[in-house]
Amino acid sequence: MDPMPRLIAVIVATLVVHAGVFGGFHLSEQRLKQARARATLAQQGKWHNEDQQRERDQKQAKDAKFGNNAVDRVVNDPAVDILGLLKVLTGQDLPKTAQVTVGVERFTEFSIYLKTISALPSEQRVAYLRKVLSRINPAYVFQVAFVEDDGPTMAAEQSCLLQIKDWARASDAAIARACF
Amino acid sequence: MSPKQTSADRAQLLFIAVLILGLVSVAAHIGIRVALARTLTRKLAKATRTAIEQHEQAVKDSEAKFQAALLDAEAAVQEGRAGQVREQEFARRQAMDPALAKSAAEKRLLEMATVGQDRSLDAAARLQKLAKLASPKGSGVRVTKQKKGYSVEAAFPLSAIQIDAHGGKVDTSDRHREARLAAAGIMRDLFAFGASSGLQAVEVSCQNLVKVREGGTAQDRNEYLELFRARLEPRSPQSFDWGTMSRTEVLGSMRVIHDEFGRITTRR
Repeated sequence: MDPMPRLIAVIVATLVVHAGVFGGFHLSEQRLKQARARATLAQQGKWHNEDQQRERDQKQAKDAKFGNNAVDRVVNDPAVDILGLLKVLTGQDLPKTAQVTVGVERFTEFSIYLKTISALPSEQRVAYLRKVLSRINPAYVFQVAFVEDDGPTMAAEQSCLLQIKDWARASDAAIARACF
Repeated sequence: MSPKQTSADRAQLLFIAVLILGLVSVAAHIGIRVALARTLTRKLAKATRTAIEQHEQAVKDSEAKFQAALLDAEAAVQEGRAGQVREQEFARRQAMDPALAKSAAEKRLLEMATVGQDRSLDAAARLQKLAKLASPKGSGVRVTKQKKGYSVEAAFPLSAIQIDAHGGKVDTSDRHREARLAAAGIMRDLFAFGASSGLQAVEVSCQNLVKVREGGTAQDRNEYLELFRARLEPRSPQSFDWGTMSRTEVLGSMRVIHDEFGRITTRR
């Protein structure tokens, strides 16, 4: 019997077994890597959610240290600058359809523009000024302008604002007298 | 043994040798692959452990940072630190910290500060340059030597003042107010950066361009009608802290010489 075919069969069989071993292990490694990648992704997603929740809880707990309401929190937070504080103070409890703009010019001149469709009555203007200026040093505010849509502007200037020594306790009449 | 038998034996031996070699190579291959697979498993497990440890450390650090922030927040409220920080911010603004300069007006003030310290110019040239920078575009400026120091006169056209009514209607009162504020601003800025150059007085006027037609001619002539004029002449300009002075404070100190707006402003 010619031995060559048997030899060739053994060599071929060996190569086939090698290929099978290689393919089998390669497949197994790939599956292992994929399973690991999936597990990592799931873990990272879980950690991300946990981190976000923790950050929210921490922010809430930190904010609570600064005060019980949004305004107190901003007033007591040293990270909020003058413009940021004014934006919050001037935006609270606005009359319906009113728009407020806060800006700073010439480094120190912080101006507040409250625009309404119709002119605000004096008592509302006084209440608005009190609400804003009782929570911030009035020396920072250059002017508070009440703008009527397509109408005249009524501005309470700094020199008038500084006439009121205690904005929380001053009477409405005293504020109206000084500012309007 | 016949040569044929010998050849068959050799072939048989070769076959067995190849078979053994094949089996050994397969066994070695499997061994190597198993070792590689174990290494990979260990490597992946180590990476998982490292990631978990890093995350746990990050959580610990974040928690420690948070606890410190909580204590700091409590202390900040007790110390009234927010107010102090804002006072510092306002002081930086008064000192014109370049980091806070955002608008064109703020950049202009910084430029004026540089010119005010420019010793390569003589006092009159410095004041002339400062007056140009302090006044709106299209203004006329004049620096006059006095017995002691200098006086500056600036005249700006009403049209040069930008009035942003924020959606409201611009009326004479707004123009009056802006003209007064513009005049106060020119005075304040000139003294803030020019007092050290011997500036003693500033006079500012606001003018409006009007077309005048004289009788008997068909041609219009441009004339400036003075609407407002004010003067500021402090006793010793260098003793004031002009940097902290606002335009509204200057409004209270300047002497109004002429105010045409007063006559045409409707009472609200």
